[in-house]
Amino acid sequence: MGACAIPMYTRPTDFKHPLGILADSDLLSQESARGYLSVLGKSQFNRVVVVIGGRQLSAAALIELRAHVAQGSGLIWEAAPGHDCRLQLATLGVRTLPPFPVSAFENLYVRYSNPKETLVRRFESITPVREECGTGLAHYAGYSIATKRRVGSGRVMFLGSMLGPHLLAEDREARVLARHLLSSGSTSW
Amino acid sequence: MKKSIGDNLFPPGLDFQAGLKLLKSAGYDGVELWLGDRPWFQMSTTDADVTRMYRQIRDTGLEVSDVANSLDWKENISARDPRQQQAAIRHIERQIEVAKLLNCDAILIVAGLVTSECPYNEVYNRCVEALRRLAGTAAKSRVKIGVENCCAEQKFLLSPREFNAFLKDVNSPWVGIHLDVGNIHDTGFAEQWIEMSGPHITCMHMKDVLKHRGRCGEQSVYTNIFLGDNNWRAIRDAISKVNYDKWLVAEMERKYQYAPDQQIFDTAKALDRVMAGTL
Repeated sequence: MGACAIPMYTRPTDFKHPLGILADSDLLSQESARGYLSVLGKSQFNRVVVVIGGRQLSAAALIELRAHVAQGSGLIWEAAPGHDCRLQLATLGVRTLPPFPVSAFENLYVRYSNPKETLVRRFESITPVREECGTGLAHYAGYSIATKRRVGSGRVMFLGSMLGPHLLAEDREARVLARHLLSSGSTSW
Repeated sequence: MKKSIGDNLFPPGLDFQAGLKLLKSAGYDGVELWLGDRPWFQMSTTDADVTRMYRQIRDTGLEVSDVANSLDWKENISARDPRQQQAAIRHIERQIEVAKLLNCDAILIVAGLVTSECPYNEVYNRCVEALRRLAGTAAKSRVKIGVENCCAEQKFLLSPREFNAFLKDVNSPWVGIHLDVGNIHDTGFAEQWIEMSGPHITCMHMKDVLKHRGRCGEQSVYTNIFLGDNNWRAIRDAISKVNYDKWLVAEMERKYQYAPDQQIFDTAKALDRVMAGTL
């Protein structure tokens, strides 16, 4: 896992900090992490873990992460383009489908309906999620691509199209959406 | 959103009243008035005349979307000649006065003309200074100054990031961008300008652009909505994304050679499709 400035986790199992980001080491994931940091740094959020990509999360780390969430934390899992995270997400009860590439001629925007109506640019690859495994948050091209569900006392939110890079790019609507998503105390979870 | 079109597009031979009736019959909600373009609306037009025009507009069932001007290309706030610059400030102040008389909250200006004689940085600083002064007048009248992005023609403020920095330097909520989705040519994408300008958009001009053509000589790059290279679905989505809910104002450069009133009707239908998102 790439080490980044606080509140980044340096190890996949280091969930003692109440707030943190665990990002893959590729440039896009790190960019996404900086996007979340730019939002986290300006507001009061607590007990939220953001996982970006999660390519290198071991089975043991996932079990630990699940236990952490079940104790009352929020988890945002952002799929990295092209990474099939079906097996990993299954540990958290989220059933995703294989990612699909998006043609440049299709719609540019993902439509979020929850927790706030928002249009956010999509990335080149999108990971759909089965509707029945939680409450739908966003759609693209007829697919549900973001969902939230309870895990014990905590919550898991899966985003099938990256949001973090838009936060770094100062997309106003994306930043408002992210603040809503990150508000762990919010009833919208 | 509401749809409007300029009085500079009234077909030849129509007077102001007949032009308004044509717009109403085509389904427009409003009209954009161009100071200095048609005989009925000049710098010499008195307040009493403007009030009479407003009554005609209201009686026809229309509103004024915004007050534009065609004078900035000759008298610009970036001019080195103080008389020209003063003339520009005066006609912009007149736009603000008139907008108030017309119960309208936005004007359109072209700020800054970069030429080989008048370089970019000089134009930039002069425009910022002039707009800071004009912002006070705009604030008192509660009329927003929309600076249009005539990027290629002005050779000024060529990207949305640059435009945002410019507005930040002017630093007034009464000065924003009158965003023309056709003026971006092949140097960018209208939907990205909309996304980045968001809350600073005072009004929007709608037209299409033939990006591959470039502006060479007298050959126009602008065309009717849906005939050019703009990505209208993306533009419509971007409008939703930033929650823009004000006027869409059609502005055509190339006009129909025959049945010119048909262009008014065709454009109204195209604007309806944009607003409804049926693209």
